[in-house]
Amino acid sequence: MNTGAPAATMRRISEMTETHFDGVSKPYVPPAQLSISDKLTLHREWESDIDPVTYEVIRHNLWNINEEHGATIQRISGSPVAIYALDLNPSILTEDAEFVYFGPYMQYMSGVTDTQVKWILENRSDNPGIAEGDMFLANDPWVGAAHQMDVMVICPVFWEGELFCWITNCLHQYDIGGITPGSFCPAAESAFDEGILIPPVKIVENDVVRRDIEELYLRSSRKPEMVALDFRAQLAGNMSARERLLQLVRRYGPRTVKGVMKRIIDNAETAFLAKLERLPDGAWSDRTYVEACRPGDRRTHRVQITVTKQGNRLIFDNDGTAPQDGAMNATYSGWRGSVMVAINELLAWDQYFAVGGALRHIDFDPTAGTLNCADFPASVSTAPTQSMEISLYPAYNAISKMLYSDETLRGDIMGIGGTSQWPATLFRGIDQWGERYGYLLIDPIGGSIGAFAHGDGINTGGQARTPICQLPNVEHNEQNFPLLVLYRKELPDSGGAGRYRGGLSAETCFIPHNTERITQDTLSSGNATPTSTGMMGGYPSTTNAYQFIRESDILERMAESRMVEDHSEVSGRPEHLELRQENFDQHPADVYAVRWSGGGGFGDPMRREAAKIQHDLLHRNITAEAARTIFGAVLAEDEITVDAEATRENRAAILVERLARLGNGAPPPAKREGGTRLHATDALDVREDEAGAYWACGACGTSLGPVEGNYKLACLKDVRPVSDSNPLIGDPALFVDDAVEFRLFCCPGCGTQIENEIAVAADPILRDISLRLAPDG
Amino acid sequence: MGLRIAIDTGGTFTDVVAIDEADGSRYALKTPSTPADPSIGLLDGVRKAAEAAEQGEGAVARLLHGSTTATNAVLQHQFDGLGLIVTEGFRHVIEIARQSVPDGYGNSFFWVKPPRLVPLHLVREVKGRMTHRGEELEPLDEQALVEAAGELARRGVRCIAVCFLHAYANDDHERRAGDLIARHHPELFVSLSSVVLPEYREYERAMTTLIDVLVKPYCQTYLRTAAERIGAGEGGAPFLIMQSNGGVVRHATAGERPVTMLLSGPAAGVLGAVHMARLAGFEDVLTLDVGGTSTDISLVEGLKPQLTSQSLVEHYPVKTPMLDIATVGAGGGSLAWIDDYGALKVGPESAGADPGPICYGRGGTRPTVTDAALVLGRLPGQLIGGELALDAGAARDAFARLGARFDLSPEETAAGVFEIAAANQVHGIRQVTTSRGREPGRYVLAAFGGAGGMFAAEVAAFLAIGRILSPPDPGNLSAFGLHVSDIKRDYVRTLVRQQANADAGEIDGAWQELERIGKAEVMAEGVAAERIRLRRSADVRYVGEGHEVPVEIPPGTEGVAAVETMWSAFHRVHFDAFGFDYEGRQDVEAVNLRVQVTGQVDRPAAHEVAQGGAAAPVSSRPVYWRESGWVDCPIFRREDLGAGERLDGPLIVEEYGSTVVVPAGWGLACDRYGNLVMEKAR
Repeated sequence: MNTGAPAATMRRISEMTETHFDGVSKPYVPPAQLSISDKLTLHREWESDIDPVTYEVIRHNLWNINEEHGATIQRISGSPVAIYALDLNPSILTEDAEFVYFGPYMQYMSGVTDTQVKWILENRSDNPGIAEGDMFLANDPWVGAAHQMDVMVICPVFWEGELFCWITNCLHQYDIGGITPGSFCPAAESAFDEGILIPPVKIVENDVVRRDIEELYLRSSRKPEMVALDFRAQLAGNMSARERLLQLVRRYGPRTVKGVMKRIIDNAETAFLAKLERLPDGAWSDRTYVEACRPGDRRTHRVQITVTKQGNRLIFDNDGTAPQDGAMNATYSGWRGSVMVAINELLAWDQYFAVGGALRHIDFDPTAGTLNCADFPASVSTAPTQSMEISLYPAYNAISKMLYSDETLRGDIMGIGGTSQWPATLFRGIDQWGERYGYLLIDPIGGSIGAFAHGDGINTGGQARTPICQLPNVEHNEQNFPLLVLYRKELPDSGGAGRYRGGLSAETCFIPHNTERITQDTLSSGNATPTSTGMMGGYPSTTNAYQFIRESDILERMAESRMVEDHSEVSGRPEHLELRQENFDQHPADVYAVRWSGGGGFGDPMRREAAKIQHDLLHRNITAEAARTIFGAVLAEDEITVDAEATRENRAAILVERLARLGNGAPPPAKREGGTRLHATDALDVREDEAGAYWACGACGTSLGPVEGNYKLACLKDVRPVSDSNPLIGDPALFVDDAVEFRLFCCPGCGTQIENEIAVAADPILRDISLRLAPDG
Repeated sequence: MGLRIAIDTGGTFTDVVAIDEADGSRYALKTPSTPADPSIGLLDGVRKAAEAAEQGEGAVARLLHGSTTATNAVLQHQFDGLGLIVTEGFRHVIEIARQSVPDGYGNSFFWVKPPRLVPLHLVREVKGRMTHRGEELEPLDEQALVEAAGELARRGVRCIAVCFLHAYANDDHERRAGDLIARHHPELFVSLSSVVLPEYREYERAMTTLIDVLVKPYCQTYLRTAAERIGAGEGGAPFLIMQSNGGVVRHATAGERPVTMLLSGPAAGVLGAVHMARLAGFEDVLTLDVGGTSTDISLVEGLKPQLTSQSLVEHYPVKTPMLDIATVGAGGGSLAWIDDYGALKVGPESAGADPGPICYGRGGTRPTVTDAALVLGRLPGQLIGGELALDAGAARDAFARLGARFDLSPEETAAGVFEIAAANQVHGIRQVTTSRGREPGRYVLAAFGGAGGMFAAEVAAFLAIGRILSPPDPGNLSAFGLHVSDIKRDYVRTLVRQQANADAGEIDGAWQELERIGKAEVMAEGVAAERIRLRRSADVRYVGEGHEVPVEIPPGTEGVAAVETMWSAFHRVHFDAFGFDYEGRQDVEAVNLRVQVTGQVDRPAAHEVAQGGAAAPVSSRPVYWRESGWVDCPIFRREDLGAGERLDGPLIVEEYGSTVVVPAGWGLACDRYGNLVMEKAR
């Protein structure tokens, strides 16, 4: 395990009052009060009384301006990044950098947008000044970018000499330098090995592009002409959005338009506060791990998140997260952007992602020097697919647990989704047209959506962080790359088991075709330790997996018309691929299958309805083996029909056996007869009697200790190999030296599973819920 | 000489426009639609048209038919009896789909993947593999194929779609599969992906093929029944069916590939608008077809409607070439409502025909856009013809209640609802203009459908559009459009070739083959060779791009010269669409070759109106405007406006089934074809 620097020397940002978080050696953390030069006048007057028609028409227009802004970039950019991966996002912010609207593209870019604008207000309003017709270029992750390739072009909008609002966009660039083509640098030791770093600079002055700055920007890129084109697309997007916004101001007046902007945020704030009011105070945590931070690394790197609710505020921290190391890190704004994806989708979706209202009541307080709040000059170029992704998904679990106690908000809960770490297959060579090519297999964008508190997740439902991306067709991949795809299929059991099952993920299997070889790199994590963990007793999905079978018989099979539906059907020499293996060749008889993680499950699988299990068997969502071992089902001979009555009896017997095995013959704790105060999770209540509030098993009411403590400590603990949590999970020792466990926490009264954890053996039991209940309900 | 009858079947009403070939007289009427068996409504329409023209049914010289029935069959989600056969290894093709969340707004669990057309257990895999170059890697397992079809049939499947990987490049396996299923299971309906949509991208091709076979039994049956009972078709009068590409084909052809009838409903209206725009002297037009529940919008440049192959029916992709029409859920029947956060919204939910708006007095209780129009004085107290008196008091009461929430008067609230509905339509126009790099202000807005004339000026104001065209009889323009449609068929073949090493002869040969097939098939529709026009085009991209742009080859450019034109014209087309090109820096790749074959149909003579110039208002009434409040406005009847008439707003023009609103600051002129052209004063 990555132990790094002694934890005692690492402190949260809020505790480091002597440190200047200025975006140089430490990340920029905007202060509550921005310090802005007198040279800049902000437009600060607005109408608060706006009739509903004007409000609706202007609101609609602002949303469309932002949408068109995104479409303009896509249209002009022509880069596959913009068009396929939709790795971009436009936004509109108020004069003081509150979000009005943020687009439906790459969601994590939100957290890196307002920090950049605030930094510009603080650091550029005096020298060189912020004026009408200016635009700023920025990509410094310590100021606010996910990684160096996410380049922002930031445009202040003026009305009669006053700064009225901001229009910004962010677009992933194909290459801006660094030791690896494409600027993702898995072997980087620090930011000095990576792409150019640009703190916000004025690249457009008085509506003219400053050629000196543009040339400086393009100089480090291997593909300067593509970056230049993308820059034009970003400029055009800002200019057309600015013009449409000014049209709106001319038509309705600045006070009215600004009033609508403020009201959009105010309404979102009101809606957010109304949600918080329904929830108890407390803290909710989740934990996961990154593997292989550099080639050859066999440690795990812990990532933890806690959301604390205190009245009308939320505080997010990353206490317990491992120190920065290798090439996997993210900066403060990257981590914040990740957390904001979960906030947007779980708490602000009904406000069209007008997250500015919620942000007025949220503090981000990570520990500096950790892998997802790294100090300069850590390597951060892989952040979006590693540290940010691994920071994002546990936030779904933590926020979901916070929402659970309220019946209405329970409907908004969503489990961890698929491709929670990206199993990259980076390939290059000479293609079937005789040309040089290099790309990565984009199929894992197919992801999966985790289970809900009221239903199953969505099979290959995409990645939650980038909702409108499209998965390419197999015929497209074969047209464009020298590949022959043997199959692309959803995998039974790939979704996490649970009372509600996580969505299935899929596997793509291919061989080179019409070429002698493809040169491959891997870059992955989550192959040893499942990263799509379950929630409230739900089980994890499959891990990522690379299967590589050298010198297989696939070509002979093809000649004999015996093509395969699964890599296990071919014979050959299986070869173990490391998670950051570089420069290995795949020849036409080498079969390569890539599986991505699926969605986590919700609730104890032993509580899943028999009818749903039967439906899953019919549709091959699960195997008969899993139905028996994980779901406790009893099947008829056809291996599809579930005997509901026998299943009930079997499950009861399993609980009895579990109590006997784990309880060591100890008598069950005495029952308490308190009334239910709230449902904390699907299987855990808070009850209360004269002696006070206590945790109680949701099934039988057995006390699990006072509410001030950790209920897991009162549970029977069943420690099992991680491979027991999902039939598709292999032996973690193939990739990491740390032992990894699947820990089940069961009620000592009835044996029901209440919660589980995937944990490195040396890690303590996680306290996932702490409640601070008001004195009397 | 006889009667040409055009029948436009909608969800509720069937519109009929008949034209007497002898003297050009026109007859327009409505009859209820009969969704259970659309042939009944169709025959009713024929009978009523013949009666109106005082002729026998035997006088029918040509029957033209457009319909939303195929689309509705999909929207009703009745997918029973459908099966799919695919290449081994790819049974999950429609399960995995493309995963994109529509719109991307909101929480992803608002979007569960739409119901699959075929459940996984009715998908069968069969061995047999082609490459993208059309080489056979593995032969088709014929025995397994026959067994798969038999097993599906035993499970109740009646319609089978066959979609093999790369069948667009080599259709041998699919054709063989089609033959084998027809031989062993003649009772099954079958569609082959290489026939329905011989283009690459297996998910979209499979879905389009499934939708084709899904509507096949229904469409074939009703078209055959109608043809038999009218005596149209074989040996009788031509029975021509509207296609989504804006052309017509014989009914038997339509039944073979019924997917091409999908979304054909709004296409005829666009053609009608183009025809009238040509007469009015306009070339670049935005069409705004405002119906009861939705508004259809399209872009026309140089009098040519734009085609797209990116359409969706609900969430299901249908990739056959279609007129590019954007639809927004805002029409006359759209409901006004207040969301959870107190914001005023309009649509997409509609009061429909039943119960309809409050003012119809048929039990509607929720205010609609039509009610708003009545409160504002934009609609008369009774619909002209007098058969329906409108209850203005009830409508006003509803807006009084709605407005009380915001402290607004009933008319302020109604004007707001109207403006929000217009804003929704504006969004649709932006989808086909600004989102594609077009400035809406340089187009003429052709507004039709029952409510088009009411909205046009409001919509134009948002977009700085200065000219509006209101064609005559705007409520029947779709049925009229059928009369001016040519026979049109599209042919496509995917042939991926890069310019650097392409064989121009091979590409030209592929085009010629499509032309040969197309010409033969259109001649078989009864079109003389000299009336056939061929149009080549291609979908082309830069190597590495994920999407193609359509490149048109100008008429007259033939042989390998057409190939040269394709390569050279591509850069400019790319620049127009995206604002840049890589000419000389990046290799170009052709993807799909297309040929559109048009068989020109003789059009009815243009109908002219009498000379005018001295029309007097028939009445006046107060009309409410958001900027100026209540203003007394003159009311004109459309039939009183003759050629050369010029008037200044504010005023209102009323006719059967539609109303044109001319605000202050707009002038109105009538041309000799009865087109009203509104121009904004500068």
